[in-house]
Amino acid sequence: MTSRAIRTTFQIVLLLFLLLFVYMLDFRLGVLRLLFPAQRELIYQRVTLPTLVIQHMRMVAISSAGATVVGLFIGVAVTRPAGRDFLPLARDLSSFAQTFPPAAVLALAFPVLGFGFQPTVAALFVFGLLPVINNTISGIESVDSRIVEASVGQGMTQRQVLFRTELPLSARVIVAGIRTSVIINIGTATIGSTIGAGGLGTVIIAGLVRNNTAFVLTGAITAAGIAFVVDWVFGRIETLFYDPRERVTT
Amino acid sequence: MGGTGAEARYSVIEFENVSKHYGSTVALDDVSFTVPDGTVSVLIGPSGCGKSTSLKLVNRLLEPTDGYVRVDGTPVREFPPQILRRGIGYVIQSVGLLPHMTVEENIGLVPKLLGRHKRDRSRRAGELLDLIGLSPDEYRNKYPIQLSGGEAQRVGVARALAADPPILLMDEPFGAVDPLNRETLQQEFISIQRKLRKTVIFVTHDLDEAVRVADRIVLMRDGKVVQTGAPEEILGAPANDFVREFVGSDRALKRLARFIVGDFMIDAPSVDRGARLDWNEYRDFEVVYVTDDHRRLLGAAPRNGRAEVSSAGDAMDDALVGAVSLGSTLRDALAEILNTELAETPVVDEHGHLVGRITMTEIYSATPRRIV
Amino acid sequence: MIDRDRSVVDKVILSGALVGGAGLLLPVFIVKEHRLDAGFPVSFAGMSLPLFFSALALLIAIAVVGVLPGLRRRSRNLPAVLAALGLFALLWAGTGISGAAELAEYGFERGRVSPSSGFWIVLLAILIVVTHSVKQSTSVWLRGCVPLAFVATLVVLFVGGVIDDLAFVREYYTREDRFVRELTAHIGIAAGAVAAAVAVGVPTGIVAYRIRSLERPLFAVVNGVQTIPSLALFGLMIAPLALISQRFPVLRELGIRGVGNTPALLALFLYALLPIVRNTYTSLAVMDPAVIHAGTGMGMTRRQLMWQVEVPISLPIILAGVRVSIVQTIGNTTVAALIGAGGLGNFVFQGLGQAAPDLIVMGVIPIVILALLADRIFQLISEWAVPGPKRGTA
Repeated sequence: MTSRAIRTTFQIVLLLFLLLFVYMLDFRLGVLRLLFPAQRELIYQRVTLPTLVIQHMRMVAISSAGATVVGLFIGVAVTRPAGRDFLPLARDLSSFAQTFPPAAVLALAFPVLGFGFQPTVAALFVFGLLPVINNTISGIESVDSRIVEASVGQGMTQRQVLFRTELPLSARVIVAGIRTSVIINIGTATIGSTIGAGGLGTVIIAGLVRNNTAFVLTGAITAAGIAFVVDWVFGRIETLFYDPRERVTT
Repeated sequence: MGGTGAEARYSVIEFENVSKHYGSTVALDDVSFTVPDGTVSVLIGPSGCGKSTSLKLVNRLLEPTDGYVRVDGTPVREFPPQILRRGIGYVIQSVGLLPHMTVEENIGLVPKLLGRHKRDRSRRAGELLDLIGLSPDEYRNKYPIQLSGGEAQRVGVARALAADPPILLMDEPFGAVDPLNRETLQQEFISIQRKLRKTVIFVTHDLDEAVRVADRIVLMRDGKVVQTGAPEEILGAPANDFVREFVGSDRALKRLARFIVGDFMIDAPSVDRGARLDWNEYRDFEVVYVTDDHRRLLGAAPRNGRAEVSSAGDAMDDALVGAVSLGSTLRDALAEILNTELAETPVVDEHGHLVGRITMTEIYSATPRRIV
Repeated sequence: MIDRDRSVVDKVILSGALVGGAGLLLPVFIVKEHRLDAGFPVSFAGMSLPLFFSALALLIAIAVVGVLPGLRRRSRNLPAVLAALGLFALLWAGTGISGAAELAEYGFERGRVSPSSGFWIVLLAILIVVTHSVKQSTSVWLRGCVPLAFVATLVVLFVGGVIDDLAFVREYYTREDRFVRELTAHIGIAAGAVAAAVAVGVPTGIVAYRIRSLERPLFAVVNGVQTIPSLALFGLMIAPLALISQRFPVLRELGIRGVGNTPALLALFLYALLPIVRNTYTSLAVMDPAVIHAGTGMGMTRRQLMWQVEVPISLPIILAGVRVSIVQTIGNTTVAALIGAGGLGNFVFQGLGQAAPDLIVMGVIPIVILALLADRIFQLISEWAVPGPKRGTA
């Protein structure tokens, strides 16, 4: 009980801090001045922080939404009878691809798609696919085959088995996959600024180039804070779905 | 059952020269048998004999390589599988309940697939929970994980009955339940079946279970039918050495489980607790039973050389109060007889009223004269 | 249910062959006059017709293996892998040789040959066919030797100078010394961070398991670190270290500065913790108490119990954590280049900065190979160093 209360308080405080830090210039200025009294230039002037946040989240939202839809589709397709031959391949290729560093995927998107927003979104999409595919497959595979057979035996169609038995029972694992995908994408999008995609990496890179630690910290704090908040939100969403372990205790 | 079974639906299941091959493996080899309307046929045999495979051919979870499976004369392959399955109740070991749905949602599954209204489904779930002896208010909103093995199994049966299908397929339905509960479930199943008269195929590897619930037994081995018949027939006249070995050397004992005490009992001598017991009146009896004002059994008074005449209450030895109920089997009666010092056991009805007795004579009368 | 072993068509091999067929029609490489030239594309058919037909023949061979009726699935593996290996050699050697010929023909003395879409797609097709066939196989021999054969083919071509004119090989030759330096730095940083993470993570996992009240806070911290974007974590390390080294010049003498290897190592160490802590915890949590009881009952001392029961049971799970950790760290070390640390990331970001794809590819290839090698090696270690039934023998 108390540890949960502590956590909730911590989350609310951090969320408040993040909102103030991003949207209240004076607050941010105060924080940074406190940390870097010697630094003259504390605020990145070229683009405002809220704009960078929006750019960042736009990249993540588009790529992750695409990755979720396509990843779910692939995961479901290879667990259907017709696509089952491809299941080991899908699993192997996606774990093979996960050994590719996200930064490398981003870098490789550049020769193909050039600079800016598009190649970043494409790279994030591809990389974000993998956890969704993996978790969809393992979620559906972990549904007890006898439960599936019972569903078929009650007269469910293939579609009904998928939507009423397999997906509800694996939803939690699938959402966990989407969560991983989104968190990875928030991180990789930061690097996207090196190919001119904008986002929170911009201010970090600017800080590194100009040796301005205040800039670096501005971007780092904001990116980390957003990642935390999104992670909590997904943590909450996960609990909405069936969990084979937790219901045991109720 | 509120008249749900009123519309007389005729349903016979026939297997005609059915074979099922997996590559070069033969799971079923030219199997033919018939399950008459409203009866229970138990498929039994060692593991790998093809009993579960046969069951799954009926609701088209599997398709035969050769031959026909018919329901009411129509080959099942002519029905769309989903439609067919919604008309056939299917019970498997307790894991078959959907863990993310409540008991009520599980029971309402097939009615929902059939497009029944939520209110009707809820009412139906209540009726069925009553039927299987679980309080609807208490169990309706529980999840499968919150049920004991026996309860989950009952819900599984309720789910299969939800759409009132004329046919039930039961694949080792009580296999995951401990022996004590299994026997209770079997009794309940028998009494439900007596009311509903479904056409049932029941798969088990437990011969005692088969003997208890079956109208007919289909004994299988290596994908072939070895012998079919009423349990008494199979236990009394095994067709070959395999059957003899399968049913075991205690088959005579098993056979006794087919006979109900009520059908064999004879009158029992009794006196009221307050009355005088004069052994001269009971010259032919070794035991006289003592009852209260309402004919409830209190105990037994054995002859063993006591005073010729005494108060019934004094002569009674209440350590000898063991009894069997009307619905028990002769096997239970025999066990009870062997448990007491007496050579017989009293029979009581559900209120504890003395209704008769069973002696070794009745037990012998149910045993075939010549056991091979 | 379905008799897989005798199913007539191997859909995966077939679709691998189809993907390869598409690759044959696309440009395999681009000939450029200089590094920033747009260049012009050359396809298999444009290289030479015999080459095109050999590649086609190999693809058809793969497809035929996939559809041949009556063939048991296992006997498909070896021919498919061999045909794929042939195609692999053909692809690289063909690109190298005919690329060099094109350069000579046009007189591009400082020109280069960049692999293009066809090249990558044929490579993907090979990956599909080989992954699938190796997965199907239960032979340890096949599973172990196939990756080796592919690497060996590439090494032979590289050492033999056949692929010298490929752009990223050119990039390599122009900065050979620095390459070795950055490679060493990359391995050193990653290994250092993971070693530290093992040293701290295993005890932390044990503490999290033994002391219930610490379980949640410890995991909250370790999980939380993983959530932070890598570049942000590097950034967060810079600030405090910069402040500290400003205060204490002695530390600066020791090399502790705001930017460079120190914050990178620190951040990578923090990142690497989660898989190790989590798996150590899991390895303890899944241990059957009956086994411990049995050990104690047989009269084992605390020490014997640890070395003969607990460690052998938990080792494979912990090793799996180290494996995840090291693969992840090798990838993240790339990003460390942005805060002035060494490593192959320097080539990648330099390539991005100069809009030079070949330089990027040159940096990425060794990173991916490192990650894959580490993954394989650790998989083999946990498969063989640990008692119990081995895959393929069970």
